[in-house]
This record gives sequence, structure tokens and C-alpha cells, in this order.
Amino acid sequence: MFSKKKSVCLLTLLLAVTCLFVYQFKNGSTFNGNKIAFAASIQANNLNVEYIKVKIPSGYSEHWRDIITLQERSDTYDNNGKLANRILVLEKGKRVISIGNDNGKMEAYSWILPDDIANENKTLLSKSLLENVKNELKQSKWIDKGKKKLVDGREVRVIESSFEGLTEVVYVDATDFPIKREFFKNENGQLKLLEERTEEYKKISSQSGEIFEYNGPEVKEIPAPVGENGKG
Amino acid sequence: MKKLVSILLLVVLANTLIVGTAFAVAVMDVTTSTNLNIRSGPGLSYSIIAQVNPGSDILFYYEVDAGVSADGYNWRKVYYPSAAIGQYSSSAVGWAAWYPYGTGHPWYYYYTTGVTVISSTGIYEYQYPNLTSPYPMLYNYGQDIGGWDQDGGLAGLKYESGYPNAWRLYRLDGSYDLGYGNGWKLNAKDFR
Repeated sequence: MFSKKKSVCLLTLLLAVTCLFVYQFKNGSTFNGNKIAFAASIQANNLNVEYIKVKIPSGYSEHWRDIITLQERSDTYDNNGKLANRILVLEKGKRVISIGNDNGKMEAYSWILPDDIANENKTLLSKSLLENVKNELKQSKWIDKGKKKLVDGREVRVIESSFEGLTEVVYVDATDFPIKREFFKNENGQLKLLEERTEEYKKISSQSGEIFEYNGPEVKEIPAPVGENGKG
Repeated sequence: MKKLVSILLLVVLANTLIVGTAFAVAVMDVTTSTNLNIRSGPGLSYSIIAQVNPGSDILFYYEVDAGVSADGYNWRKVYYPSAAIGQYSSSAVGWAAWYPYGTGHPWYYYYTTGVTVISSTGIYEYQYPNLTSPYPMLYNYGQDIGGWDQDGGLAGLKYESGYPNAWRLYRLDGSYDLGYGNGWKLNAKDFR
């Protein structure tokens, strides 16, 4: 039925597929085609870190996540560009370093999270925040308000959602990421602008991992702030 | 004597103006039945960095803030308590889900209107938000004190922006007394 050459090819292919499955399960991971394809595409472009920047009236925040090395960093800056606080999640979600700047005094604390939380973090850190942002805008609560041309010439899609007297208007660009967000408060039937934000989403390259390297005041090791009232 | 009274009046007026123009941010009480997760960002995909018990006091980080809607919840940036740090600090800041979207939703933390003193040695009231220059009067352990809110309304208890441990106090008996109490030695409550 099959020629000898075809049979050898078929057998080789079968062996390769079996090996791939054995490798997957031996490493304790489930086979997730989408996840592997997504990670591979990031590595191929050397764009291994997801980056989010949100500018608000009182300053701005930046967030970085490496879904390959499972690390993240979150910074908040005030309007003068001074660091207000930084959170680093390292060691695949197990260690937290938190730096705070209170009226010019910088302090840093670090803690190891309990295993159950660390394991949950390990799973979370492998998820794409950028995909999550896109998915959020596909929810049924958003009403399409058509297209609009911005002053810089960019054409954006405008969507809107209202809840508890607050109306959120989001401007989405051609990449399906939000670039601007406005919040309006309903006061006696009039919409009053409460807050405006600009947002930036992209993948960047950080092969050396310098973004997640600690650089700050001496770190004090403390117990994880978990399951306590804090004060006392 | 007249001069002294005038100077004192000016000091009081200046203090009132300083307080009146500064930003004040709400102190909230955690109302969940289980621990509330504090995350590195606004959404369920962000890492859990801490957890606070029901009844803990957390503070809104921003005075004006519409929050972030993600994964079916409204998220707010908050100061959370950490016993090891020993005070509210920018080193203990993260994001917590405030409420899930939907009709009749529960609140995971809610506004407060006053405090109870939880320090066994009592607390002094201070003139300034950096908690210096105490007034001579001591509030005792277990004593209730109202939150002073210049705007009135729902969010009664607030802290001075930039000073998360400086909670604005006003006596429940209605006698005028504006000052700051050390929030770390107080338990925020809703007296309504």
C-alpha cells in the first residue's frame, strides 16, 4: 500500500509528534498551542517584555511584564517625574520588592509570598496583559460610538460604557489598543469631565533583563503582609 | 495682650486655610468576609503582592480617581497596612478590586465616618499633617472620634494627601476641634 520511503517518513513524523507530547507532559505543562505560539512570536522578534504606560492628571504609571522569565515591575511617578513607588515581582512570582518615596524619604521592603499565592502568581505572570486589555474592550458593555479623527490625524474608534453615574469613553487606535480614556460624571443630566488619561501599550526588548534589576535603597526583609490586620 | 490675641488668631486662620486648601483622600474599611487581595496592577491578571483581613483600613491613593474597569471589577489604587512596616507608607501600595460590575453589587471596602482609638496608650491630636505639635488633650483607648470632612457628605473620614497616617479628626460631640490623629493607632469605622 505504502512505499518503503513513505512509510519511513510517516514513522519519523509519528515519532516526532510523540516526542513533542512526551516532552510537554514531562515538564509538567499542558499543551497550549496558542500560548506556545504567542511566546515564540515574542522571542522571534526579541520583544520579550510587555509595556504599559498610563498618564493621569497627577502623574503617570509604567508597567513591564516579561511573560517568558515571569517577572514584572510597576512604577508610579508624580507630576514632577519623581518616583512615588515601585513594585517588583521576581523569582517567578514568589518575591516582592516594594520601594516607596514618602516626602523625599525612600524605603524598600522585600518579602517572600506563601506557596499558594506564589504558585498563582506564576500562572498569572505567563499571561499577556496586552491581550487582556484588548479582550476587555470586546466586552458587551461597550457601545460603539463610531469613528473620530484626532488632531494628529489618527483615526480612532470610540466606544462608551456607563455604570453608576459614570461614563467611560475610550478611543481605540488601529492596533486595537486604547490611546485615550475619558471619564464623565453625570450631574443633574449633564456630563462633567472627571478625569482624562492617555495610554500606551507595546512590546519592547529587554534581553538582559535590566528592567527588573533592583536599583534603590537598602532592602529590609519583612514577613509577607498576608492575612493580617496590619496594625497593632 | 491684644497683639498676642491677634497673632494667635492669624495662626489659627492660616492653619485653617492650609488645611482647607490641601487635598484630602478617603479612608476605607474592608467589608469582605475573606481576605482581600492586593495586586501589582488593576486586574485579575496582575500578581498578588499582599492580602488584608476583613475589617482592615485601606486608603484610596488618589483623591480624584474614576478607577480602572477590568475583568468585571472596578479597581482602585490603595495604601494597605503592613505590621512589619509599622505605618501607612508608599512602600505598601497596590491595587484592590472595589466592587464587581452589576446591579446590586457588593462593596469590598467602603467609606468611613470616624475612628476608635486602638492604641493602649491613647493618642494625641496634632496640628500638622506631619504629626508634629500635639494638642495637650489625650484621647483614650476605646474612645470614638468623628472624621472631619470639609465637604460634608458621604466620605467623612479622610487623610491629608501625601500624609497617609494623618487622619483628619472632629469630635463626635460636635465641639469644634480640627486636627490630625495618627491613623496607625486608630481603627476607621462607619458610625452612620
